[in-house]
Amino acid sequence: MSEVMSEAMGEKRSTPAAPESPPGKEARRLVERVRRRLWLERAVGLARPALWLAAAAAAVGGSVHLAWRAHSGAASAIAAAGILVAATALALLGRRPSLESAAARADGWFGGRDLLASAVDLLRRPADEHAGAAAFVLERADERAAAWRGELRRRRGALGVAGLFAPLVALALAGFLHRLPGAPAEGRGPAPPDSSTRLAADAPPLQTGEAAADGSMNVWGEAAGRAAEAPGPGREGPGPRPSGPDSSPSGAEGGALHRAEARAPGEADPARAGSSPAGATSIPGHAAAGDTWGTQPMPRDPLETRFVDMEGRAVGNEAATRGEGGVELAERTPASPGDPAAGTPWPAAGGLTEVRARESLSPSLRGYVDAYQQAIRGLE
Amino acid sequence: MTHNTLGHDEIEAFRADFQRLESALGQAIVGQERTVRELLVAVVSGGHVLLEGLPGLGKTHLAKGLANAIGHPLARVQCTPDLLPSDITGSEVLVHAEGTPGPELRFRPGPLFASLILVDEINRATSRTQSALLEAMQERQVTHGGTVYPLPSPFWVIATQNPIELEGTYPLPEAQLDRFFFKCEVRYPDQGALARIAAVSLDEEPADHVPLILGGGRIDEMMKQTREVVIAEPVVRSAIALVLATQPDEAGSSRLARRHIRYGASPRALQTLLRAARVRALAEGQGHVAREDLRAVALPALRHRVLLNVESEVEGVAVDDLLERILEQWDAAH
Repeated sequence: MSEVMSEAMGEKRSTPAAPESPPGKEARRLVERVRRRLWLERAVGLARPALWLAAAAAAVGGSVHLAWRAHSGAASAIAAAGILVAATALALLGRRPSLESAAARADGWFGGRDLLASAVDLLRRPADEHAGAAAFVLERADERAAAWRGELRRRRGALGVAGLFAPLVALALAGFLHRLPGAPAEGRGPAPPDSSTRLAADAPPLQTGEAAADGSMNVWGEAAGRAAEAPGPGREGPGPRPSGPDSSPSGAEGGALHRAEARAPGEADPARAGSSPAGATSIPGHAAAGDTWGTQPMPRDPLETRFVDMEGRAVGNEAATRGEGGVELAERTPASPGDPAAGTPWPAAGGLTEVRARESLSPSLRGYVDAYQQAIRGLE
Repeated sequence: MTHNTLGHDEIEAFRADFQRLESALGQAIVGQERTVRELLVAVVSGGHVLLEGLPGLGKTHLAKGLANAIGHPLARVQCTPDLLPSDITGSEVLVHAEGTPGPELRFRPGPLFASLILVDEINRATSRTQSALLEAMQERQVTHGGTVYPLPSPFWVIATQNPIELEGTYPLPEAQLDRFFFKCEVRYPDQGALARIAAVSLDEEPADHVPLILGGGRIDEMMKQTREVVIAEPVVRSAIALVLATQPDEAGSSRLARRHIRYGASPRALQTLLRAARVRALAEGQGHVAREDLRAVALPALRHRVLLNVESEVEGVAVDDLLERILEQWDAAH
């Protein structure tokens, strides 16, 4: 019993001394800690190659996905997870290091000179088999263990957790491969609309028809250039593309205008596809007349404003395509071999004679059409 | 199983006495600190020592100084080819005793009946004389005329031999060598040690002036204390592994042993290792044997218990070098 004098109270009271721990308890506790640490080290040691393997599996899956889009990512995710689960199970179910080996390792770490190993060995034996120096050894082991406990805390780096960083990064990067758009697969069609790979590169190619496929697009550009250079009164008069803000390449709608200019002559205007007669194709992702954009009506294609009658009055799209008081420049020509109008020569037999109300065209527009026809014939 | 408690005070006293002894001998035999320590470890272990070295290195003086330090008289036997066994064990002589009708034969003990015996140039004695030492060293007794005479306890034999001038010598057989606890190499001192030798032993012999360090049976007490040192099972296993590593044919033998060694260390080598390691542990102030104690005593304990094969002898392989390499492998494995 130890006595504690309480000066404030002026009384003497005795408190029971803390019970002495049995010899070797501290040493055993430290060895147990080291044992757990070794177990953890083994787990980390297993985790490192497992993570590398998982990263490799994910990378292979990602590469396949990028190259052929033949891999959804689920398989590689399952493979990676399987490897990690197997490693974890191995670490958890594997035999824990023995106390003896833990003591030997601790002695190695702290320069214990086999003190802990001796203490653990003594604790394992019955007391009557102890040598004369056993008590001294256990006592010293307890003293040292108390000092080494702090050192053990400072040995966190020995776990090798930092070594997991590289494989974890590799695993994350390999997983990111699956988030990248894969290459379009042959004959596989477009990616699902909700797929993260639905990017511009994934969109199905525009059906520009043979004209575009065989380079007619450039021909059209050349022809248009020649038409622009052709002499005629139309040069001075209002052209088919009315001047104004709509035709300004730098305008907000200039992009739409350019898109229309780049379109092949026989190609249906996607903006008008919804209102075009038979043969018109609705292209996913392209707006059609009458579509709404939220609660607002879809902005109209500026090209639609070009349809004017002889008096310069604007006419509707449908009216124009029907030829009601307008031109039918946008009359559709076959776009693809599968089109019902396939095989129809373009310009149709007779050239522009089939264009109704040719005579009703303004002189400048007529000159433009003539130049265009001439250019096409020259090409033929 | 009863034990004498070996506590902190006892261990500290042991360490202090050992260091005093070591220091006293180290001052007398300059430049042989390692040999002095090995000799003391063997002596406190109760083992016999074979000192091997060139003439003039202080082997005899070392034995003399030890005798003075531990307070045990030194008996000296100078071996020559004509030395007879009875010259060392003793012989019967005619004695005219009072009260007897006539002279009678009585056993006169030889120099072996001393606690500390210096057998100088043991390899110059004949095999017959050498073998007379076998019983004395191992059994600590002498048999003469059918009568057994026990030798005093403690009993130490310190033998010396010269590694050169082998003509006319009788190399110790393996059985004889195995009875020596340690074989200590007395190496040539370095330049600094030579300067100190010139300073301290020019006109007088320092070994003659070594004071009594451990009197009153202290050395016996120390020898008993060594038995109380803890040797954990893993350490014993390490010692066994070390002995097995020198075996050419046993399981656990090393590749080096299979290639170079004809006969490896005996089970007595294992006992020697552990006993010597206990002493070293106490000398270091520890109550338990560590692997580093085994490592420290391995060379003197094993070098005379390992026999090289013919090929290695022809190649000039040194036993110490071979053992060092085996010890390196053992260190790495344990």
